[in-house]
Amino acid sequence: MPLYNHLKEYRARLGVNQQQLGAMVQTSRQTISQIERGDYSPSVTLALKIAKVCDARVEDIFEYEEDTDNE
Amino acid sequence: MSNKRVKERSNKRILITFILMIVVCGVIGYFFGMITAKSEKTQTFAQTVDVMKNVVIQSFPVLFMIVAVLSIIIPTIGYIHCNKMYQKLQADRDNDELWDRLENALNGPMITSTLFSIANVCLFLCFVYGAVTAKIDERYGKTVVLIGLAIFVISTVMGIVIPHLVVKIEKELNPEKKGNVLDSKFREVWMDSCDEAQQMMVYKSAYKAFSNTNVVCIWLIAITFVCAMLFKTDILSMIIVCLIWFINTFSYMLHAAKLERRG
Repeated sequence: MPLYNHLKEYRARLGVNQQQLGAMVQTSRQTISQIERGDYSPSVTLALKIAKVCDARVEDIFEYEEDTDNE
Repeated sequence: MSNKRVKERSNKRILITFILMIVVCGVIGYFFGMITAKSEKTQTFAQTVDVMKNVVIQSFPVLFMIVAVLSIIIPTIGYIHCNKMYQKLQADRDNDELWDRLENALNGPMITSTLFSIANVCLFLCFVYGAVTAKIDERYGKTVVLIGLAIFVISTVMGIVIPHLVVKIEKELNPEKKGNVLDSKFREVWMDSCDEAQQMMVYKSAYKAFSNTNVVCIWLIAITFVCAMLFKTDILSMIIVCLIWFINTFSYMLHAAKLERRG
């Protein structure tokens, strides 16, 4: 899924670690780590929660790019 | 999440693969049958099978003890390694890279402990079977049988203790996680405390396990059938594999249908 994100930068701006951000959005540290690595695309609910905590719009944090390889 | 998409294969390609598989299996079956028929006539085959069976049964105590001892040592080493990493992390809680490495390393003792537990039960039952039917205790002595029993008890206890300790570290790393390994409802409680990403991981792994089990069942049916014909192992093993395949597929389809109805 061609979803890219800037979560790491936003988290750095907040000055919190992965576990603290996880607690802020009621999710695990592992999930935050997976999102940052691009290994997991969050649900709409989680993406909205993250955006709210980061005081940003969802599309500022998550970027969708059309998959060109898809025939 | 993987970016790879599985492409649909054309009917023509599937048909060609299927015909090729049938031809290859037919040729292998023909040669196998020919060799068996020739060797059965000379009686050397039946004697060889008997000798092989005897060697396998007599080697169970040694094999069981080696695996049982390894099942104690390997997961324990893995746990000690993880515990060291955990202590290191306590001093540097912001080290995300170390945290990820520890989470990954925790899989080691958990996987080895679980796999060894299964191997232990299997080999212990073979050991007991050998002791009863082939009088292993007469060859190795009663002391060896008692030592084997003691090792089995120790390895079984370790098979519970190591996962318990790993889960304890996991729960300390992720306080939202719930569940006690000793509880029969551990999986349900643990799953309930997992968030969406972890639940997705479990679903994907379960689907992969389901697919792999189906493939393995097909191979095992072929193998058990060949063994029944060649080594006279009876058809019970083949029926049991078919039963496992049936239950695996049926429970998957039943739950999928239930979920579909729920919408």
